[in-house]
Amino acid sequence: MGSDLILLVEDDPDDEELTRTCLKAHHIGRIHTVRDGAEAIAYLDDPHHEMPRVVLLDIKLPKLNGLEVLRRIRAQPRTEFLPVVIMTSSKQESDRVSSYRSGANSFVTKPIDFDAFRDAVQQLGIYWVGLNETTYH
Amino acid sequence: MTGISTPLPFSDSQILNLSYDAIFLLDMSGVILFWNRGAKEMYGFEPSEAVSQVSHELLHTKFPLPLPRILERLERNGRWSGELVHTTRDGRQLIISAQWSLQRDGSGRPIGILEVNRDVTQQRITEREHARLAALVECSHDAIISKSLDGIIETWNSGAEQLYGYSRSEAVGHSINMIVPPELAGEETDILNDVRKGGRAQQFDTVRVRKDGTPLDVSLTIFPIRDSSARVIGASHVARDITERKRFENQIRAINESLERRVAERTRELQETNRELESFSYSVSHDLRSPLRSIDGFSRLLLEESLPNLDERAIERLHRIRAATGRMGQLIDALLDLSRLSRAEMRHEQVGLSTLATQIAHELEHSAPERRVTFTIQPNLTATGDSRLLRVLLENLLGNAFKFTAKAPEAVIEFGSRVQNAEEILFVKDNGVGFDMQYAGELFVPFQRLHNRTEFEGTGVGLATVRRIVARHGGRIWAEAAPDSGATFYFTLGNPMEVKWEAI
Repeated sequence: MGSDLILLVEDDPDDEELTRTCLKAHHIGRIHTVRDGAEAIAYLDDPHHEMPRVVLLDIKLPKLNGLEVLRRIRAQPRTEFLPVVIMTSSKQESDRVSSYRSGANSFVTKPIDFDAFRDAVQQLGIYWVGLNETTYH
Repeated sequence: MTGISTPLPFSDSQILNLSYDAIFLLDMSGVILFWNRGAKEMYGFEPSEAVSQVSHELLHTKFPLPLPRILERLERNGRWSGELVHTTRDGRQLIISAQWSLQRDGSGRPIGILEVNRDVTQQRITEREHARLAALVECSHDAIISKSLDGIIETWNSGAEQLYGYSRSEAVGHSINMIVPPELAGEETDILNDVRKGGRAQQFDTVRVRKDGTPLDVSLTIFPIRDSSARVIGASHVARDITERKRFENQIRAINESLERRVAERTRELQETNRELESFSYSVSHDLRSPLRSIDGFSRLLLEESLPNLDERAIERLHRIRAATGRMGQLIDALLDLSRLSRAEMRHEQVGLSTLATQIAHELEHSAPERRVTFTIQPNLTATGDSRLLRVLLENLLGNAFKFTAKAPEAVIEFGSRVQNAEEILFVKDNGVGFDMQYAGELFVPFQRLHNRTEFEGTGVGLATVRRIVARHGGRIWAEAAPDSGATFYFTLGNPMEVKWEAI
């Protein structure tokens, strides 16, 4: 329950670096990064791995896209209620719809402006790691 | 009187009066001596009017031969018969079948003529009518056939000879089934059963077969034939060769089918292109934004983390990098909006333009509370179209007017309409900086700007967006302006129609 681990599913090392920097500045959680959808599923499927407090998931990912990863997370009893925040560059309405339909807890468009981006990431961290409580089977 | 063996209780003249024929007796100069009742009824003259008159004068007789030659034959043969035309007392002309007999005295000298006349006018008219009809039937290119209720061919015109290849003698007396192709066997039986049951005329396209075995497309018309008491005694069969028509019909069908195929193909291509465009704009939205975030983010981090190592110029340049990144982000968003506009499904609804304009005016006033702007919005303007698109249109036009009046001390922005040539023309008018009309052609081109960035902000996509929305509503847009004396944008919203997407 008390984990402060964030699973960041992000193929862009720049975005990873920016996200890390923002969270570190406020000492929010620990970050484990995976680079594509298949790696995300592999991490979560392994019971030896620490269960993260929240998954920050991009949609456009190599191999398995974010929506598919989300559906698999929801299909597994172990991760059924794991908080998943979609963080994407996309502003497409269709992406919002499919994300919520697939069981996303939240949908955030990554702003281009770094100040806005930092704001968004820090608030997400504070809320999902610091405040939100989830449940496990 | 030869041939009479028993004395009769009538006089000769009484007997003659019993006849329906007109009978009269003439002397050799044509003077009427006797005029029976039949003559009176046929011609209308009383015996008292007729007797003593010269018959061909009384009746205006038209002879088939000159009278002397008729008399010559009469004298030679003792009788003559032929057709004459007589005129009745009331002026009607009758065709008369006449039989003349010569009466001689004991020494053989002619002394009188007995004329027996029968009215054959009606008969001749009917005969002529028949002849005309027969000629019509005969010269028709259509096959005109009559058949008995048992399907036996009774008449066969030359059109039928031409069409089916059988001569009259080969066809008449044979079964109509000789021209029915095997796969339609029974069709004639059905037709005749229908006729027998009192069915009316039937007309349909079918196939018959020629003597040489080749099939023939025909349009067939079947009529019942009735006798004088209206009993159905057979059927007529009028057939027209429609091979040509069928050929054209098939050609037209083939053309239509290929047209439909091509339309379907094009539609598929268009859908494919739309899908490609969709995924293209998706990529643009996602992949073009990410690097911008890196540029902006790392510039910002540089400014924060390495500030002590940066001189003023470096700091200034990093700020420029960040500003450019921001603009690029806006351009990408504007571009995506524009392409979305072109592809979005159009809705057709009643839209209150005045209400929309008023809302937008309030939003604009809110965005810059320090400015003094007077909005004049004509009430109750409506249009049929897509409310989302029309909102974007007014946002752009009113937003431009708002932007370009920023330097006017008393900004006035007007939205209204006027009717010209029975067409409603809407307009947005401002008293802002305006523009030089020689650049008016560039106004609606995407990313084309008439003012530099330091003067007025913008992506250059606004009016391109407006033009596209107007086009999708089937309307036109144009502008009038002069530098420093404001601009007016006119537009119509004609018939909303599904205008295909245009390339970005």
